[in-house]
Amino acid sequence: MKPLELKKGYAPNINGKPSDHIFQSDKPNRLGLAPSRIAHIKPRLHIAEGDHVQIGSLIFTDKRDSRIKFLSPGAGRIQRILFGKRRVIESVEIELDPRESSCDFPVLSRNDIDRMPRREVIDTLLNGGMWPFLRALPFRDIASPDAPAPQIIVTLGNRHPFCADPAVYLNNRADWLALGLSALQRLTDGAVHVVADPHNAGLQATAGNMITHTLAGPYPADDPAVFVHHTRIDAHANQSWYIDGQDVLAIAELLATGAYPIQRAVAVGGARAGCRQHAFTRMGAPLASIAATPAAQPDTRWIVGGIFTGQAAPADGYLGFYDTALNLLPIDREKEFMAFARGGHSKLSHSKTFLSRFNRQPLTADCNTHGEVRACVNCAFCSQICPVDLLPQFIYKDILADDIDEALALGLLDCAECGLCTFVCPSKIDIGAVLQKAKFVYRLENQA
Amino acid sequence: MEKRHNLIVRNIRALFDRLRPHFDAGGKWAAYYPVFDAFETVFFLPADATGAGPHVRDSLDLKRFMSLVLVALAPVLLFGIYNCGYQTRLANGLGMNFVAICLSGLKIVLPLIAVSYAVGFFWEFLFAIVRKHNVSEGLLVSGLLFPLTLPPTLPLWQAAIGISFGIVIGKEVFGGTGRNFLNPALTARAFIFFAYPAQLSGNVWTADAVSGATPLAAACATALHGNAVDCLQHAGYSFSNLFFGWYPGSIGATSAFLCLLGAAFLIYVGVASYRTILGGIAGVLVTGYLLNALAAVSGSALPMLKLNPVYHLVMGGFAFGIAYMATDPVSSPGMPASRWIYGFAIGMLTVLIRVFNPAYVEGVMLAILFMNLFAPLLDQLEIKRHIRKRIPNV
Repeated sequence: MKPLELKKGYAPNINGKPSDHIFQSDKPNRLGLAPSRIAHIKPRLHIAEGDHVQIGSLIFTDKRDSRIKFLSPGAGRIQRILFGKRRVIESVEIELDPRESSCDFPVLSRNDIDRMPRREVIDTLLNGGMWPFLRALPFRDIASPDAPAPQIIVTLGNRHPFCADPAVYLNNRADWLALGLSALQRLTDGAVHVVADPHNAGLQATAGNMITHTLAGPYPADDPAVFVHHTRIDAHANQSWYIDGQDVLAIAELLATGAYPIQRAVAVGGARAGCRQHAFTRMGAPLASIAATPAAQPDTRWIVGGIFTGQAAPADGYLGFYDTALNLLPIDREKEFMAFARGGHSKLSHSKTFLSRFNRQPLTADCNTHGEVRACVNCAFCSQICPVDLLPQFIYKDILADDIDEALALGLLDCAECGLCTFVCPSKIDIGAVLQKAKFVYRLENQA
Repeated sequence: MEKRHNLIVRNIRALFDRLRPHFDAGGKWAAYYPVFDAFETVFFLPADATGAGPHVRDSLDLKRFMSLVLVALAPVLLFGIYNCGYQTRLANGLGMNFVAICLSGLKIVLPLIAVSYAVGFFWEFLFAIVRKHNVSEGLLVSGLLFPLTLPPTLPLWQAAIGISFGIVIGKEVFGGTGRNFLNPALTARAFIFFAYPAQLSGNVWTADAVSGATPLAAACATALHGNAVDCLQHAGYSFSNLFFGWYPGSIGATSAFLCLLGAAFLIYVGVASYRTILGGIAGVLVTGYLLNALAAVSGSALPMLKLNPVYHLVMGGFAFGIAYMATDPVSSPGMPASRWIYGFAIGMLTVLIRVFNPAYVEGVMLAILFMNLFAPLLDQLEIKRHIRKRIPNV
């Protein structure tokens, strides 16, 4: 086990951290899928309103590769398919049966997996709806089933505030982690790295023997791009695959039980959350069923995922395919008087320009910009915080000047998409979005 | 007290809310929205929610970033006002009571600052309205830095022309704050320097018809005495006088001690780069000692060659320039090593100009402007090195 350390990044001291108390949510009466929240894919529906589905029935595939399947997390009737602008599929809602039936998948032991040809392992994961859990750097799209992975990175971490603690979801399930890892090993000729936070004592106790690397440091130390940045010796690692620890458990559950896995451990946090804790709930559960807070609370943002890169969701939305967190943050509507001239004892800032740097109390994070957009003044705060040592201010200017070659040479594709450059920018420029869009466009142009 | 404060805030809020419809799209003054926005955002932080991207943002914005420079300038400004009054009354043989000194100082300094801000903001607003963007906070700093570098006796119309040149030619023609490659306040100061040399020589007119040589002028004119330090002493400039700034000179730039305090504050809050400042000090000392060695080897009679380099740190505008001007992030390089080189070169050039160029007694202004031009090149070199170190991902 090699100790690694992220020196940059940011660990904000904010309130709303979920406790490791686990709350078992009641069975909801409906579930939903949110295809539009899954990046890159072009969903094609295989069901219509009124159809009856089982747990594990095919709901939609990716038009770009129809082998990539998304299956139903519940059994019941398709109640409603909600389309957004330009016929984006926002949600597929399933009214659950009181007694749910499920599709059968093959039960496979570790020995079976070790003896199967690689192609069959891949098909098992594709047909079992597990494949989308595997994603590939640098574009973070679903991995291609046709090319083997250079290496696979399993991330066990909750340093993105606030995501599910691996110690919580791994409790009593370390065997499944081992089974899942052996399946992953069949997908690569390289190594399967299990990367964890060395300071998470609970995790070390449950899965310590399976951890191959520890990466200390603040957010986004759990990100696979950060791991690659710290371990890369050649360009081979740039296309590494990665998967979240909880999704490895899902793979293991499918193999061990022959049933489509439907349980998720979700962290519920943020200043506006009624009960900050972990919830054991169903994949696709209505957000309101785990938030433990009135949905009508005004000026509250519902974020599925962490506070930096999570997605905003409506209060009547659903837990998505990858989601392991729900954070509720306030939006401040009060225009503060002479804010720039105040001490700022309780203002969240990475800089040292507020008195809050002397304040040890957790601060309240809100969803406000705290200033107007200005031109870049070359303060270099973004490059001082970037976890993969990019120079976001120069890459940003290269992109605006259409010099994509220089942007690539500066490591555009290494971007961890953590959002910290945008977070710190005093000119309130969304640098991260400019970089991400450039990555996206570069990929489109290369495919054409 | 709290109640009265709330009442005031509510009334100001109500005033802006009443005016807003006229400036919003479709209103009769919609074209002047940037002016409205500039005033409103001084009083009230906008409460905009984040859209795309990270939901949470840092509380630091450019207004606070720039305001912190003003905080760091406050001691220099207050001392400048007092020292101005003191030197004027001294030159005119007037009474020396504290209030009178302050009033005399204010009478000289306030009009210069008022002219600088008024004319500067006129141009900022004009360009913001024409270009339809919001007014940037850069002028908060430039508008105060510029008068602090001026001799107290400069006519106000010259100050107005100077700041106009600095803002328009030094900044706005390149696209405004963030796109200027020269420091606007120094550009303004350089314009005055070359356009009206009589008012900006090494001799400061402390009052009507009374002139006093600045320390640099005194040190330069030491051919007779042979030793620059002796000559400085002779003209009444001891080291501690120079360090604390009790001598006639530019309004804000005389006290190296207060500039040091300001620099320490800016470094502490992370607004100024310590690399630039320490690099500059190192540049002065290394160059100064090398010149001392040169003097010893060559037996040159040039007195400035033999001057103890520590004097270079406290004389003239070096301390002010390296603390507040060279650290302007827009016109200085953005890479760590480049900032060291940039600072070092400013220190070196300052000393070289002071020692070898008889036409200009002060070198720091030209040194910083010169290195402003090289900042992009220094960055480019370090970026090339940075690229070579990375494992490619294309």
